[in-house]
Formats: sequence, structure tokens, C-alpha cells
Amino acid sequence: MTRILYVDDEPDIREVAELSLCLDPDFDVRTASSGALALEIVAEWVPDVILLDVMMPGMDGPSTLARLRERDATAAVPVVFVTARAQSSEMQSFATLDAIGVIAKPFDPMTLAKQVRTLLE
Amino acid sequence: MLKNDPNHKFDRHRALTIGALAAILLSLASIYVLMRSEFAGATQLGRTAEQTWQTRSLLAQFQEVQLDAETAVRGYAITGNEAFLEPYLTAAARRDALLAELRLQADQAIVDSLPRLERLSALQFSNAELNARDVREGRAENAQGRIAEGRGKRLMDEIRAEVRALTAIEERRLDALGRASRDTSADIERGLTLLLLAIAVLLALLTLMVSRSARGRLEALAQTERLAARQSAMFDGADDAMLLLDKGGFIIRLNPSVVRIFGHSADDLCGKHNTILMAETVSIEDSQAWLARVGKATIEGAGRKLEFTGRRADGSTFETEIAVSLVEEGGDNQYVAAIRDISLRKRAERMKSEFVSTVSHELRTPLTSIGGSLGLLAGGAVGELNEKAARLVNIAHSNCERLIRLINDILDIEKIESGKMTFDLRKLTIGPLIKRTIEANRQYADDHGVKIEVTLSPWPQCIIGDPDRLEQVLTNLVSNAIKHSPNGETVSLRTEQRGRDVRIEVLDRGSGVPESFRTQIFAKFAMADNSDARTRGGTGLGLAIVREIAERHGGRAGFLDRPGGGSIFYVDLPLAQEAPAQASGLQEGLPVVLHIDDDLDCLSVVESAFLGRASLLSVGSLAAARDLLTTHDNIEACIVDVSLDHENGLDLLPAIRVALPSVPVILFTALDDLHPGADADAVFVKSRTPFEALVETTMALIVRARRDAQ
Repeated sequence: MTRILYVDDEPDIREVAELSLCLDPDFDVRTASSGALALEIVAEWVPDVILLDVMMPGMDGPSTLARLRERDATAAVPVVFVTARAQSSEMQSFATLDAIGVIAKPFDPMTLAKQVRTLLE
Repeated sequence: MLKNDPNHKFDRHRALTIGALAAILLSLASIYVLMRSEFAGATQLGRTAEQTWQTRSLLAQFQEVQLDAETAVRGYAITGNEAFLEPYLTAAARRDALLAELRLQADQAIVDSLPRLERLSALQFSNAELNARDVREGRAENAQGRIAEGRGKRLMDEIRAEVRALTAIEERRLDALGRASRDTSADIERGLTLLLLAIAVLLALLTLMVSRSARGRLEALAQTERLAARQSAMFDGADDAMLLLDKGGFIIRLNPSVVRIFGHSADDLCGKHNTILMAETVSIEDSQAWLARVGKATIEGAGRKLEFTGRRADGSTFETEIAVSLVEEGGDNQYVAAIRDISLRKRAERMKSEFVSTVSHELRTPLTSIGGSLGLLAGGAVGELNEKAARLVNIAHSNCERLIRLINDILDIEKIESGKMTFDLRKLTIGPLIKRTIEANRQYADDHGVKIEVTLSPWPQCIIGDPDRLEQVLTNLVSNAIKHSPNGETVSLRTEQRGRDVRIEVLDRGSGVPESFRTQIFAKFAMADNSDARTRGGTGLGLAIVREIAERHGGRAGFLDRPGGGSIFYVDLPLAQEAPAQASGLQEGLPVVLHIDDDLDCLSVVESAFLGRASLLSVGSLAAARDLLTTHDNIEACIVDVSLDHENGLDLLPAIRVALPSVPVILFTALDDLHPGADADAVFVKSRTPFEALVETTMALIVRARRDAQ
């Protein structure tokens, strides 16, 4: 099973994303509504990949990523940014932030799981 | 500039004046000649009058001598008194003297007639001598008889008649001369009158012209004054802060807007250096160097404007833009600087970009949930729906996707039109671009039962462009073609080289472009027929985006009717120049340009843009650049990227200035927020500047540096 943590402050999107990712039977999906909660979860459940919303109140995506990297357990976990600000220049700047990829919102729910699998390979 | 050429008018004026003066001089000369001839005439007349008077006087004396002789002999004959003979004895001598004088003095006509007079005189004297001898020898009665006979009287009468005739000749001669002289005088008088009249007219003309010329000069002076007043009004009345700076950048004059915008009093600023108005720490030397560069740049037209942070008298800061023009005043340069408060514009720009970003985020967030849910339902992820429900979900899903496309397209159009869309330009080949586009549209084509066919050129065609944006262009064209093709038809893509462009064509077998729609097909929100089911799902922005992106790549978009039905939509994009055979080898005779950039694509694109114009030393780091600066003293320009990997290109500038002080430096960078104080000769923002502009400006700067070095 591939463990996936999806972090987004929007509950509707979390639900749709979880459903979409679960279309791949090999995915074990958990969600978190904030960066802080994500840090709590990874303390006891280390995922294989983390999908991180960029714009979140409080701790945003890039700062969550920085905190994840500070911990030994998650220092090497691949991270994918999910963002509604899909301008190419921004996409590129996220790529430099130690993420393996960027997925633009709105994503295609039927192919989201496939997109993540492609990024992991 | 004046519309009429004043020089022409002045030249004509001068020619007229000179002509009039010459005419007056000529007239005066004529008068002199006339007066001389008049004087000569008068002298001649005087001389002639004197001569005739003398001649007449001599003739009268001659007649008197003859009479004296005759009278003396008659008295002697009657009285026998010898005393009477006295006048006769001297008469012959007096007569000869008179005749000699006459011959000497008199006019030729008189001289010619003298022999006759002489003969008469001789006859009379011999008659008198005969009488005198008879008396002396006692034959007085013989003499008296001859006298009574009247011989002497007849001779005397003949002499009188002759003298009268000669006198008359002289009188006539004088008369004739007098008349001729009077006639000449009258002619001269008429001539003089005419000449004097001419002079008077010319003088009047000259006076008129001189006064007109003076008036013209006064008018020109007044015009200059008006111009100065107008410029003064423009300077003083301008809404921008206007400064007149001397060569060193010290303030000579300022307008009221400076006081209003910066809060300094006019007295505080006059004589101060313009850097007093800047918040950045710019040294006076840097400012002077910039002004000197800008002075030249005005001619070249580049880099004349600069944004900087202004500082008010109270210390507060605000964003400004300065534009400088050089005023050449007899070798002593001055500058006119217009400073504009752009803080409002900057704030509006920030707000707009923030708004666009917010809209983008805020609309996409709910659409992600809606689209995601509908997508899962429509995709059967949560189980089969009944037929009616599936139809409704499909309608909702497809319209949700359309809404997403609409938002994306509106944001794109907004970005393009506001100049905010950045293009990540690189050298790319057309083939892979077309293949990617087709892959992306394969599913869409299958859904419409349309096949896609591609004909590629056998050799690679390279262009300089943003691959994502060009894929967007081709996708818009291909999806349009699929949408308008009948089921079972084929959409074709092909490329064709047209001069220095490559044309990418998308051919369909649709119904073609309606006549009424041809002129506006590339306009925003233009859709041919809203009732046509195939146009549903479109945003009406696709072709507008195609045209904008094509034009921003230096190309164009258009369409043609396809023979046999359907349309051909195409984009023409300029081909990239062939890469140099030896990228690293320097070409002989071309100026050497150092280019520092960490983007290898950018290095190679710039290198090919300079092909044939300059040889490029392309390096990716400051260390490599520093090495080249020490080993190559033939570098004639430096192109520097500011944001390098972990390095700041601006850090290289001092090293360049030390190694090659006169070499122009061009910043070519992706960052919009450039440091205004940067010591660069020109600044270009990547993806906003066509490569030609970079090349042309660099070459112009090299030419200028060479000229300055001479």
C-alpha cells in the first residue's frame, strides 16, 4: 500500500481528493485540514507521499514543507504541491522548493491518482 | 519648429536690398556722367562765345583801320596837310597784326574767308597809296578826282559788307551752338529728372524693406519670446515635478510641482544636487554617470526612464519615475528631468495583480469541489447512475469545465493585455510541440469521432518561444477544428516554411467561416452562431488568445478557406536563426560580447540571435566571467543576468568596470524589480523584450563606445 497524506484547509476539496485518490486500490489515503495537523499525523504515521495545498491559513504549504524537512522521519518524504494559483512562474518557483511536482486546481478527479503515481515514478 | 523656412524669406529680402542699393549707385554714376557732359558742353559754349566775340571784335577793329586809312588819305588830299596822313602811316602795320591775330584765333570758316578781305584791303591801301603819292608830288587834283569818282568809297563799302558777312557767320555759329547746348541741356535735365525719380523710388523701396526686415526681426524675437513663454508655461504648469539640471546634476530651476510633490521649498532645492530627492543612497558620481549615459541614450531612445524611490522633505518615501532629456546648450549640457509620482499607479498595479490572483484562487477553490464531485459522479466512481441522472450530471460537468476554461482564458487575456503574461522563451523545435498538442487533444478528437493527421517537415524547424503558450495556441486551433468537423472527418496539421517564418496550419472539413463573421473572428467573445451546438462549450476567447500569443512571439494568426470545403487556420512564427557551427569559437572580425546567464537555453538563444553580428563568450557563473574578464581584453560589451543560481549578477559589475571601464553593460534579466542604481547602460527584461531589441541596442552601444574611444 502507498500511504498518501492530503493536506488542504477546504473540507469539500479534501473529500473529493480523498475519493479521487481512493480510486487507486493501492492508495492508503489520510487527510489533514492544516499544516499543524499534518505535522501531528506524520509523527505517528509516516506517509510515502504528501500532497500539500499551497494557500492555507496559518501555516501555508511552503512553511509546512520546511517543518516537515526539519524532522528526520519526514526529511526525505516526497511532497507534491497542489495550488489554485496555477501561473507557470509560480509553478516553477514551487518546483525549486524541494517538491517533486505541482498539481493545479481544479484537478481531474478521475486521473488524480494516476497523476500522483506518475510523479512518484 | 517653424513651419515656414525663414531663411528663404531672409535671403530674398537681402537680395532685394542689395539690388536696390546697386540700382541707386548706378543712377548716381549716370548722373555723374550726365553732369560731366553738361559741364563740358557749357565750357565749350563759353569758349566758343569768347572766340566769336574776339573774332567779331578783331573784324570791327580791322574795318576801323581800313576806314582810318581811307579817311587819313582823303584829309591829306583835300588839305595837303601832312598831319592828316598820321593814321594812314600806322594803319598797314595795325592791319597786318589784326589779320595775323584773326588767322590765329578765328574759326576755320573765317580764316578761309580772310584772303578775300585781305585782297580788298590791299586794293584799298594801294588806292590810298596812289592818292597820297599824287598829293605829295603836287598832283592833288588827280587824287581829288579819284576820290570824287568814289573808288575808295566803293572799296570801303565792299570791305564793310565783307566784315558784316563774316560777323554774321560768327553770330550764326554762336546761335547754333547755343541752341544745341540748350537742346542737350534739356535732354540732360529730363534724364536727371528721371534718374532722381528712380532714386527716390528706390530709396522709398529700400526704406520699406528695411522697415519690413526690422519688423520681421521683431516678429521673430516676439515669436522666440512666445516660445520661451510657452516652454516656461509647460515647465512651470506641468503636473510632473520638473527640474532643470546642470551638467553635474545640480538643480538650476524647478517648477511648483516639485514643491508640491516633495514638500521642499524652492529655495531649499536650488543649487542642491538632485540626489536630495532620492531615498536610495546614490552617490553624486553615480548620478552624474547615469545622467551622462542618459544624455546619450536620449538619442538612442533606450534607458531614458528610471524608477526610483523618492524622498520628501519630511523623510517619507514614495515611488517615482524619472525621465531625463538632454538639452545641448553650446557645449554646456543641461538636463530636463520630469519626475512623476507613480505610487498610485504602482498601488493600482499591485491591487490588480492581487485581485487577479485572488479571483483565480477564490473561483478555482469552489470549482475544484464542484468539478471534482461531478467528475467522480460522471466517471462512475460512486456507482452507475440512471440514464436521466447521468445526462444531467454530464451537463453539469461539462458546463463546470467550461466555466473553468472561461476563467483560465479571461485570466490569460487579462494577463496578455496588461503585459503581465511572462513568456518563458527558449529555442524549440516545431515537431515535438505539435506531437504534444495532438496527444493532449487525442481524447477530445476520439469523443467527436474525428481523426488527426500530421505532416511534418523532414528537417527540424526551430523557433524561439514559450512551449506552454505555443501549445495553448495549437490546442485552441486543433480543438476548434475538431469541434467544427463532421463525424468521421480528419483534422490535418502541417508546417510550411514561408520566407523567414514557419507556418503551422490546422485544416478542417467544417462548414467554413461565415462571411459576416470574418472580420471579427479573432475578437474577444466572438462566436459565429450561438445556436450552433458545436460552439457550445467554447469561451469565445480561444482565437483572441491565439492571436495575442502569436503576435507576442513576433508572428501572426490568420485563416483561409480550404479548397473543397472547410477552413485553414494558421499561425506564422519567426524561425530561429541557425545555431553557429562552432558555438565556442570566436568569429574573426566580430565584436566580442560576454554573456553571463545560468540558463543554458537563454545563453544559446542569445548566441544565435547575435549570429553574424557579434561573437559571444557565454558563461554560466560569475567566477567563469571573472576569469574571462582577466584573459580577454577585447570584450566590447557585457550582457548580465541579475538573478543567477545563488549569485547576484550585479556583483560582477564593479569587476567589469575595473577591468574594462568603457565597456557597456546590459542587464538582461527575468526580474521586474531592478535596482535603479545599477550601473548599467541598458536594461532588458526577459520575455518582455524581443531578442532583436537586445541585439540592436548592444550593437549600438558597442558602436558608441568605439566612437567615444577615438
